[in-house]
Amino acid sequence: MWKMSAVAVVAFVLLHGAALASGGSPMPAPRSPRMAPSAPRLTPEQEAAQRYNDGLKHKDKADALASEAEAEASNAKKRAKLEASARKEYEKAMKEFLGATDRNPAMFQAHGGLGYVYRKTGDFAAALKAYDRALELEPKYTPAIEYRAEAYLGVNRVDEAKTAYMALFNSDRARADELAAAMKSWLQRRRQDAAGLAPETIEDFAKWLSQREEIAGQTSALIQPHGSRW
Amino acid sequence: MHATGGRAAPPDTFEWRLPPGFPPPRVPPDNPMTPAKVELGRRLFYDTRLSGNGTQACAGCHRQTLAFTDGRPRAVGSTGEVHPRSSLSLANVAYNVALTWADPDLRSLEEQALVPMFRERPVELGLAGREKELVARLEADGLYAGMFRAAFPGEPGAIRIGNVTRALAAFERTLISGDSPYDRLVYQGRMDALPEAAWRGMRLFFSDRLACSKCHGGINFAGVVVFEGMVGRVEPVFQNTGLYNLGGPGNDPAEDDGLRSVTHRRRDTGRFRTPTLRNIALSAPYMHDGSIPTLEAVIDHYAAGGRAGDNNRYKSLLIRGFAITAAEKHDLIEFLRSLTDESFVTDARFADPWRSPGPVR
Repeated sequence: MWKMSAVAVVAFVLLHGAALASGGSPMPAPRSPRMAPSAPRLTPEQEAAQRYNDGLKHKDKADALASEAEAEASNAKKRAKLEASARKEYEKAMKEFLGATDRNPAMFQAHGGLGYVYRKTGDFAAALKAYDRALELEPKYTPAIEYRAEAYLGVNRVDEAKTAYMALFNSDRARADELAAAMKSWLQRRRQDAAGLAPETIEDFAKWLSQREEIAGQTSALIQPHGSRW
Repeated sequence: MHATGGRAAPPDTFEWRLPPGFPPPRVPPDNPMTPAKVELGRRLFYDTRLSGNGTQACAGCHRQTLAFTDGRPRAVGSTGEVHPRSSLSLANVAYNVALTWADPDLRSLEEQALVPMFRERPVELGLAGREKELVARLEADGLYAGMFRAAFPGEPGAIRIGNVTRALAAFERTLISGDSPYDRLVYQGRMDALPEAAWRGMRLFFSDRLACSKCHGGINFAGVVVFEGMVGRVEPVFQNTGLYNLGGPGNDPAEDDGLRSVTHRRRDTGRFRTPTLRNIALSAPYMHDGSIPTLEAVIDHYAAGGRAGDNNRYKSLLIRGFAITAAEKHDLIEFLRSLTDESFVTDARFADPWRSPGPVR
């Protein structure tokens, strides 16, 4: 009886995976086949979806802690504590996303989730690799296009970030706007700490971003994003 | 139904080849796009046998080099009758909410094709009462027999008026223009695609002061559009641009009072659909009756708030006049010129097949 109830709960979670996705990387779980009450085990795809959704919960928690830490400007000790907690949650999320990709290597959302937590923990090389894999599996997966662009910025690959912006501009305008906002923050940081970038590169990028924002303000988005799909 | 590149498509699948940022056009379920149908439509579009006296094709009023307009103030039908209105551009016509200058109910290209073919007042192609003759003309041409069979497979008696208009509509849906310097800047990310003057003109165009984009907004510079996957129904917008004030405040010439002739509502006097500004530098003269010869004069018209100023009760509230310097006018015209898509007016896919290499009539 207990076993049957547990399976039913798991099935419910899987079928309502989309509801769990929130924050910066909304990636609903793939649909799972309806399970008969007597089904003894989850399929690898269903297990992957479960791990993925667990990963999302940790990711969302980590994002909230990281935001809290960022807002904590006056109390360094408290800030450090919040950052450490965020990191722990990102690590838990990473473990779940890795588990998901292990059980279902074709689950592009989980690769995207991995990219996200690698990026948030500063491992841009691993993040780029994970996003590349997600986009190999599903080239139209706009969350990965957006966040890979942010990873490109992390390693100063500005031209690739610009290309990603254009891809989003023509396919998912809301994400293009989000990326533009992230680019603005990146610009502010690079103006304070160039991190090896030449000043003229930074200012060229600033001009480009300002022009693109002007254009975005003048044109309306027509193509509907794959909101229901991602 | 349509492929957008990548994998090789089966031979009966139409490939749109859409410019970046352009959504797939909406296609009626009973007239799916196929290469054979589009090619048939192109043949018919350029065929003078589609007029009663065999002198004029659709292309007579819609010339590719002029972005599918005719360069005349007002269109001239196959019998020489001059129309009250000018030929509209067919660029991106697939995205139009409504068709012709002032008919809110005419929304499908298949239905619209019937208007020039069979209208009697004024006569356009002059086919009214000659339906059987048209079918006989087409049946007599062996080329068409094969093309209709390919376009409408499995249909006995495929050469009929309904299929002529389906093929014409399918061809017209392919007339997509999206490779102007403006498109290269906005949708292709080529930041050097617009000269400085055009960029300044773009700012003016979208400014609240000039408010050009209030009517000429959207991907087609003509207001709202329809496309595949779009949710909800949109209504076409018609404006009185203050062109006339004859015989009393707001009256338009008796022979053409625009939307009012369809709705019979006084407030619709002189209201016409906002045409696209794409390729506008190629489609002079301007306005629904071709009564303004140049872009400079069009800007002067709007700067003055219309010909009759505020003495026109039916004029759109958006036509309120504005101050503009000579330099700004120059910049604005440069921007309008940046909407010209040279590849569109030279694209072999849209050209007259009777003149191209291939079967000769």
